[in-house]
Amino acid sequence: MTAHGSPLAWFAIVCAAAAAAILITYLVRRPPAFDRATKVWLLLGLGVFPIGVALGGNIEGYRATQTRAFCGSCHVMGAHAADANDAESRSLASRHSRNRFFGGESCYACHADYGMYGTIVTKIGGLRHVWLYYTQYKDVPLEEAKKTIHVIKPYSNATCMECHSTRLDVWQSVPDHASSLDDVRAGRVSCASGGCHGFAHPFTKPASGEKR
Amino acid sequence: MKIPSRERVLRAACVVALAAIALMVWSLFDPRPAPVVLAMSVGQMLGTLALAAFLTVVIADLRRARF
Repeated sequence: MTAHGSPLAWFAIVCAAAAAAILITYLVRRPPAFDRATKVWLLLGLGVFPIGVALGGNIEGYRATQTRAFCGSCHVMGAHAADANDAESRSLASRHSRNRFFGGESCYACHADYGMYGTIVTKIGGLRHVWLYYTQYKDVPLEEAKKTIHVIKPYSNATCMECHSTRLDVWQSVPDHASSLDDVRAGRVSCASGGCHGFAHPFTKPASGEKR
Repeated sequence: MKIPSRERVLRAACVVALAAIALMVWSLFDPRPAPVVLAMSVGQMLGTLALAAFLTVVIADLRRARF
């Protein structure tokens, strides 16, 4: 069952059970007449209830794709998920995963596109991940995957600024923030860099002196 | 080309719809990438196909009754 076993998931399952009962009954009994009653039953079994399943299933599926457990379910994301789940880790990813407001969806919160068509762009990007996983990474060992998997484009400070606006006094009172304000807003200095708040997933970076 | 009988089309639609429902329910119990993507693509395509087949049969039946 989906992680939260929501009422919507139960609605979809009840619709599925009702549709299956109608369809199996039709297949077993094979009513000779195609009368009004048969049409109504089949409309329920082939139309109304399956649409209920699709509706509930789509919304639940959409929610599921935003969870950390979903992102971590491919083995190449195992290290990322383990670090995010590690209560002792000091990485950016782990600290954000402990946030009580969005920690359960921290992968999505930090990697989503927040533009006008952000949700669609993010979902298409997710489909690309699934494609790449099954065509290229399915058999790649985790240790190798940790070194080769990378974000498709440099991580944007705009995503950090969805929450950390850079406009509050408390943020600007930090000397390093104040001195680099324009560079941070323009994306010339990355928040998630070694010189600032550290890498989000530091275990994917080569140890000092090690060449990649 | 021989047109399949009404009963055959309806039975096929029932089987296809059952497969679609199975895919969608699978994604609810096992929300990992493959089941979710399959449910939202193949599952819904099969479900739509089954409903379209049923509606085609109903429309044909109504037209036959009218003429």
